[in-house]
Amino acid sequence: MLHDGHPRVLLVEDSPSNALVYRSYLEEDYEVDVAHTGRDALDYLGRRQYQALVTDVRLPDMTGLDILDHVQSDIPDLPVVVITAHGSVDMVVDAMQRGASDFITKPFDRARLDVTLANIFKKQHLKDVVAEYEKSFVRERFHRMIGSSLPMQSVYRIVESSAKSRASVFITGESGTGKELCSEALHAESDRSDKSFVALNCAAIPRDLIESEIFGHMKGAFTGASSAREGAALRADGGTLFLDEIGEMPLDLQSKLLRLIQSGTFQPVGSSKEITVDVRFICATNRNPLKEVQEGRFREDLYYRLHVIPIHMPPLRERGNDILLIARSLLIQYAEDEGKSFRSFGKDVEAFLQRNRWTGNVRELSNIIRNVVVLNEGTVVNMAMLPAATAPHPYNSEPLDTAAPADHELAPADQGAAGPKGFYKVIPLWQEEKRIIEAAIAQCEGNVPRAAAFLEVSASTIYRKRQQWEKL
Amino acid sequence: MHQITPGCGIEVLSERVLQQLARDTSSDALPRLLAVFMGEVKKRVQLIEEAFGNDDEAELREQTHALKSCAGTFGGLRLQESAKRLEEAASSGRAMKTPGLMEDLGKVAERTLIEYAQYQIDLENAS
Repeated sequence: MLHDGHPRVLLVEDSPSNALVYRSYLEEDYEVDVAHTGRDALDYLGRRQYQALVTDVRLPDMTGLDILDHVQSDIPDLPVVVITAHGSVDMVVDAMQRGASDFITKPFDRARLDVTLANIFKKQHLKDVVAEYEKSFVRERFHRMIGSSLPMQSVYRIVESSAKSRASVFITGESGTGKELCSEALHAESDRSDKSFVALNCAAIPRDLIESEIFGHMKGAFTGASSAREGAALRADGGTLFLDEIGEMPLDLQSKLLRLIQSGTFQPVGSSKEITVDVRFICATNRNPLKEVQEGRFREDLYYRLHVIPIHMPPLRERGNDILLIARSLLIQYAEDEGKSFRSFGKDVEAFLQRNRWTGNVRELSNIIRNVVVLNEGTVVNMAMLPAATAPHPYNSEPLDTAAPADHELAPADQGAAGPKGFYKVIPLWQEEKRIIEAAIAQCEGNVPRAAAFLEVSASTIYRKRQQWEKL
Repeated sequence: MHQITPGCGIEVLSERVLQQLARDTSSDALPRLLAVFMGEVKKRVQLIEEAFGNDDEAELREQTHALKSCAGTFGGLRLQESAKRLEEAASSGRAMKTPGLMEDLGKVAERTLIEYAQYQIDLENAS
């Protein structure tokens, strides 16, 4: 509730002479509105924002405590000072219990009112400072996104800073990292939040229909177009259009999209009429957009049009304790949905959740927790409840003596993390390394240089390691 | 035998309170504040008399409470005391049985208005 200039105070006092005196006390430092009845006061509160309310208890049509109750219910952050008659101790206790910030006993002079309000604003200012601090530095939630990790704080800040702008936002990140939630937050924070947010997943629509989905079509524009249909661009007029998986958009359509972004105009399929819209564009991809440009799959001019404000959604494995924050939130939510009584995770499960690599990110975590909730009963999730598919990559999930590496594809160099305690056999690093290298050589039919290339090491490294193993 | 009215030793007009009021607002504003106060006293006393005439103790309680409050703010201490006694009587259902309180309030209000009007004239003459 930070404010510029004089704070605005609503004074509720039915006595005209008292109201005039109190107003005279206040008007040098505050912008003051005076209501002489409770009804007038509620009317003012409905129309304007105030930083404090000062109300007499006795009013002709209701009591000041009724107004206090209204404020507590509808504007709980608004501080209320109650003016009471001399000696009405019970009234003071009642008012303070109902949530009044302070009270003041009649008759009072200016200094008393000044001190009372100054104290309230000082306290309010401190609350605002703390709230601002928390808003800027430590937030566990931002709209529908959950997470207090540093990378997410950075995402929240960019969303806040860029939301009011019309500039295009390009969200990148692996699948399941929350790109759509981020785009929803951008829309919700923007001045367009009361208008449409239209989300379109380019990967989920057959290529032939993407143009019609975005730009709409006229009746008879193509076989099956039995009636005219508005496209996403028109539905998002005044609001936000979110194009997910934009990398899947065919090149010919990219030029039409570029024109829409540049000029705000487009033609529905089968129409010669130009339509002008006011749309804010947000797009997302799980690919590397610059690489897509370099390899000719994405128009460079469109890339630079869209890539004005980049936001990278960090993978779950880089978000530290966010994994547990999200997991706990999902557990409570799913337990409620399914009528189960799960409330927490066992310590070993929490350790496992934090160690897993979550290549499918939040979506993978969400699926596992849903599975646990649906298939089990209890209040605490234990290791036995985790689905078998939760096992990390085969290279580090299976015991050494049962490993069958030749049956698996070669893993990316960064893949692999130990499973939870008691869940997978922990083995010495050199043995694990030996198994991986031997598996790669077997996969390459004994061709060491080829295996080395897959493993992204030099062949001499493999030869040297082989010599070392022979000595062991 | 002359009946001693309770509260007659209390100031009708407290200069101390009015000087504080002038400091807290401004000397220029005081005459206007006094005018509004006197207008309210007249109106409240009229409503109190009507409530008394109608045997309406609830309204009597409300109006005496409001009169007590504004009299206190402006240093009309005797009127404040008189209104307080009538309010207490109305709150305990005794107001109609003690017409002396109503009579006293009328007299005190009249004297209060005279003294405040004179004070206002003095202020204007001094400026």
